[in-house]
Amino acid sequence: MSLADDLTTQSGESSTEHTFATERTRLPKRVWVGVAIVGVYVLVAVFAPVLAPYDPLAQHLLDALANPSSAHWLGTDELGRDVFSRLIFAFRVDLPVGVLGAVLPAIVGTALGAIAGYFGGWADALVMRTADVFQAFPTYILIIALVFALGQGVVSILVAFTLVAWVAYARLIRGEILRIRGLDYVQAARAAGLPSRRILGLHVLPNGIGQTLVYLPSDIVLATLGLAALSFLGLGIPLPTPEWGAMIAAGQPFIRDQWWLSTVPGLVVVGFGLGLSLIGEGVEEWTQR
Amino acid sequence: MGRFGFVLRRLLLTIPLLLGIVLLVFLVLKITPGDPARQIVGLRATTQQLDQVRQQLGLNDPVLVQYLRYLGHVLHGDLGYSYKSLQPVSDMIAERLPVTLWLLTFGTTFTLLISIPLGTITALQPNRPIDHAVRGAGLVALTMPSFWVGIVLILLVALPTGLFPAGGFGDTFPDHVRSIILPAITLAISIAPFQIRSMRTSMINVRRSDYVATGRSMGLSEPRLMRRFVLRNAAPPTISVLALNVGYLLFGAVVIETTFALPGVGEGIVLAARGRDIPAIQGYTLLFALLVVAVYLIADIVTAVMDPRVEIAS
Amino acid sequence: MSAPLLEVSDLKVHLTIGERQVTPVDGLTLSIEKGGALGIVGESGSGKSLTLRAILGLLPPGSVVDGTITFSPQPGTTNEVSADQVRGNGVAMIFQEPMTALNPTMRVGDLVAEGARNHGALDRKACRARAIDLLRSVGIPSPHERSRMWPHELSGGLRQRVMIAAALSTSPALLLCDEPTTALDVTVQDQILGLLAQLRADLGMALILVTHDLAVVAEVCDRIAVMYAGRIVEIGTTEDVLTSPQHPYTAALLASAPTFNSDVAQPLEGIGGHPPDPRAFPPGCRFAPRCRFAQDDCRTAVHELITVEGHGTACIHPEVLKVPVL
Repeated sequence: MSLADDLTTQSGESSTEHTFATERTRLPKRVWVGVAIVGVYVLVAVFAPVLAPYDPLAQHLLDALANPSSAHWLGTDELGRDVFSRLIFAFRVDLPVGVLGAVLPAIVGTALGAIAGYFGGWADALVMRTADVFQAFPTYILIIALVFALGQGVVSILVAFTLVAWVAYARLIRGEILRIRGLDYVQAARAAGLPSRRILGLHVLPNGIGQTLVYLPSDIVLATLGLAALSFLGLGIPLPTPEWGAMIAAGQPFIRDQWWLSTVPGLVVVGFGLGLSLIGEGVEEWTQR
Repeated sequence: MGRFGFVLRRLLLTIPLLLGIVLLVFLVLKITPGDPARQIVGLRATTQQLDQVRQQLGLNDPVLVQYLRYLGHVLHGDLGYSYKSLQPVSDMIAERLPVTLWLLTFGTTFTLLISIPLGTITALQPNRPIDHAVRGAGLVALTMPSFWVGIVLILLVALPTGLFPAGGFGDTFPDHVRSIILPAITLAISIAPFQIRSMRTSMINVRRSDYVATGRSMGLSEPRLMRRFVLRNAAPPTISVLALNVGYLLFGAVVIETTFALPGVGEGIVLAARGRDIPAIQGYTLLFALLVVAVYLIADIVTAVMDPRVEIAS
Repeated sequence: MSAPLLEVSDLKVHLTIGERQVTPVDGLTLSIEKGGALGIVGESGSGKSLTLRAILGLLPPGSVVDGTITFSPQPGTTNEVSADQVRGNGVAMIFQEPMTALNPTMRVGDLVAEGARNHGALDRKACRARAIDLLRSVGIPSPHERSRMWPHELSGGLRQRVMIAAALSTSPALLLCDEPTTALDVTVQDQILGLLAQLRADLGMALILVTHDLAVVAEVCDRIAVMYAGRIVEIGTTEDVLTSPQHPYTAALLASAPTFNSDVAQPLEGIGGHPPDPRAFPPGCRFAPRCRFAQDDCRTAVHELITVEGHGTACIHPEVLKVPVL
C-alpha cells in the first residue's frame, strides 16, 4: 500500500531473513529469568534424593493428614507420606516426561515433515493425509484412547504424545522446505547445478530449526500439563509414584481442611510453565527483531 | 444454489474423514491388551464360558470382518454394550450428553463475554499497561492446569459461600444452573487467553486497514466505525479460532467434569477408561471425534454465510 | 484576493519506527484555490501519501504532526482546523487500492449511504436514494442493482467509482486522491481521470492528486508540486514545470518518462540510485547524491523554495538546466 511504500527500506528484505544475517542483538531479559527458573527446577530434579527429607513412598499411617510442621514441611498425605518429599521427587517424573513429551514428537515430526517436503509426490501425500486424520481427532481424547490401549506408564504416555503431537512439527518443517524451494535465488542456484541437499542444509535447517526451537518451550508446557491432567484422571503415571497431577487429585477429597495438599503442587506446575513461557516468548521476540 | 452447493460439497468431503476416524478408533482399541471376554464373565470363568462369550462377541472372526461389522453397527447407531453395566452405549451417551452440552454452552458464552471486551480493549491500547496486564494474566492462565483452577475455585468460592455446590449436577433446573457456573468459569479461564489474543490481533489488523481509513475519511464517528467497520470484520476470525480450539475445549470438558463430578460424556470416558470398558471408550471417542468434525463444519458454514467474500460459485 | 481553499504550512510528520524517530514529511508548504487542481508527483518513499493522510489525520498511531492547516470553504472566513474537523466536512479522500479500501462486509450502496447520512441528518430512505444518485453521477450503470452488490463482485474500475461516490457523499469542497489510477488498467485509468475532471467542472470541487505518473498530472492538474525525500523541490503551473523544469530531479523524471514523440533510438534514462531512506536523510540538498549536476555547496544548502513568477524551485543551481526538455 502507498503508506507502506513510504516506510519500507529500499532493500526490501523479509524480516526473518534479516535476523539470521548481521545484527546480533541481545536476548531479552525475560529469557534469562525463564532459564533461571527452569534451571532451579532441573537442579531440584537432579538433587531430589539429597533435598527430600523422607522416602516419598514411606507410609507413616499413624501420622496421616498431618498439618505442616517442622517435621513435615507440607504435612502428610492420606497414607502418611511426607508431602514435601513427594513433591520433590515428583520433579523427577514431570520434568523428564514433559520435556521428552515435546522433544520426541519434534524429532519424529521434523523427520517426517522433511521427508514429505524433500521427496514430495506420494511420500508427501501419505504423510500429509495421515496428518489430517490425526489432526481431526481431538488431541487429548486420542491420547486417552491410546494410553488406554497401551496401558498406563511412562512409555505409553510418551508414545501417545508422540503419535499426536508430531503433526505440528511436520507441517512446520515441510512448510519451510516448500517456501525455500520457491525462493528465486534457490531456483537460480538449482538451475546453476548446486545440489539441493546443500541448499536445504544451508537455508532450510537454520530457519526451520529456529521456528521449532521457538515452539518447543510452549510444547513442553503443554506436554507437562497433559501429563498432569492424565495422572489427575487416573490414566497417567500409576500410583504410588509421585507426580504433580496425581498429588492434586489425591488432595481433592481433603480440600476443606488440608487445602495445601492440592494447591501447592499446582503452584509448582504453574512455576514451571511460567519459566518455560518466558523463555519461549523471549526467544520469539528475539527472532522477530 | 450457490451457497447450498457449497454446504453440500463440504458435507460430502467429511465422509472419507469420518470413515478414517472410525477405522482409527477401531484399530486403537483392537491393539489393547486384555481379554474382553474375561472382563465380562469374570475371573472365575471356565474356558467353555469364555469361548461362548467370545463367539457371541464375534471376536474369533478375522479382523477385517470385525471392522466391517463394527462399521455397519456404527452406521445404524448401534455402539455396542458396555462391558460393565451391559447398558447400550448409545443410551449411556444419550444420558450424559446433555450435561456436557450445558457445560460447553455456558463455557463458550463466558469465554466470549470475557474475551471480546478484553480483546477489544487491548487492541485499542496496544503496548500500554492494560495490554501488558491482560497478556501477563493470560500467560499465567495458560500455565494453570484447569483441574487445579477448578479445585481452587471450589476452595475459595464454593466452600466458603455455599452458593455453588462443590460437585454434581443437581436435580432441578435451578440446581443445574448453580452447578454449572463454576465449571463453566473454569473452562472459560482455560480458553480465554487464546481468544483474547486472536481478537486483539484481528482488531489491530482491521483498524489499520484501508477501508477503515475510508470510513474515517468520510467523517464517521468512532462508535459507528467500530460497529459497522471494525467489529463486523474482526469478529469472524475469532469465532473461527474458537472452533479450531474445540479439541482443546472438549478435553477441558473431560477434565472439568471429572473435577466437579458432572455426569457428562467427559466423566463418562474417564470412567470407561478406568474400568477398561472397550465398547464405551469406542463410543465416547467416536462421539468426540464426530463433535469436532461437526464443529469445524458448522464454523466453516457460518463463516461462509457471514463473509460475503467466500466464494460460493464453482 | 480571496483566501485559498486549503493552506498547509510547514507540515511535518514524525513517525516512530522501532526505536528511531523518522520524519518522512519534512516542512511542506502548499495551497490550493477553490476548484483548483494540484498534482503532487514523486517516487515511492517521497512522503506524498503521508502528506494527504496528514491533512485528514489518517496516520498510523504514534505519529506526530506539526505545522498548520487552514481550510476556508466560505469566503471571508479563515479557520485553522484540525484533521478531525475537516473529515467528511469539506475534505474527502480516495485511496489507491479500491479492493482494500472498501469495507468487504458492506454493500456498496450502504457504504455510500453512510457518508450521506453523516453529512446531513437524512432518514434511511433519503440516504439510500442519495446513494443511488451518487453512484449514477460517477457513471456506474444500473446504479440501483449495483448498490446491492458487495465490493468483491465489482471490477476494479467500478470499485474506484464507488470510492469516488463515497467520497462525494459528504459534499466535499476538496477531494484528495492518493494514486487513484495506479491500480487500474490503462483504459480504465482514462475513464476515471475523465470522471474526476468532469466532477471538478460540474461541482466546482478542488483536487489534490498524488501520483508518480507524470501523464496523469499532465492531463488533470493545472499546478504541479514535485516532492522528493519529504520536501517539495519544485512547484508551479503544469505547463511551466513540464516544459521548463527548474530542478534536476524534475528534469530527470521527465527524461525517464517515455512519450509518443520521444526518439525510439535514444535509450530511456532511469535515475540512478534509490531515494534516501527516511531514517538517514543526507545533509543539505537531499537529491545531491543522485544529481549529475551536484556541486559542493549543494551538500550544505538550506532547503528553501525560491519563487519566480509563480514558479518555485529549491535548487540553488537551476541554471544548469539551460535546455528545456520538451
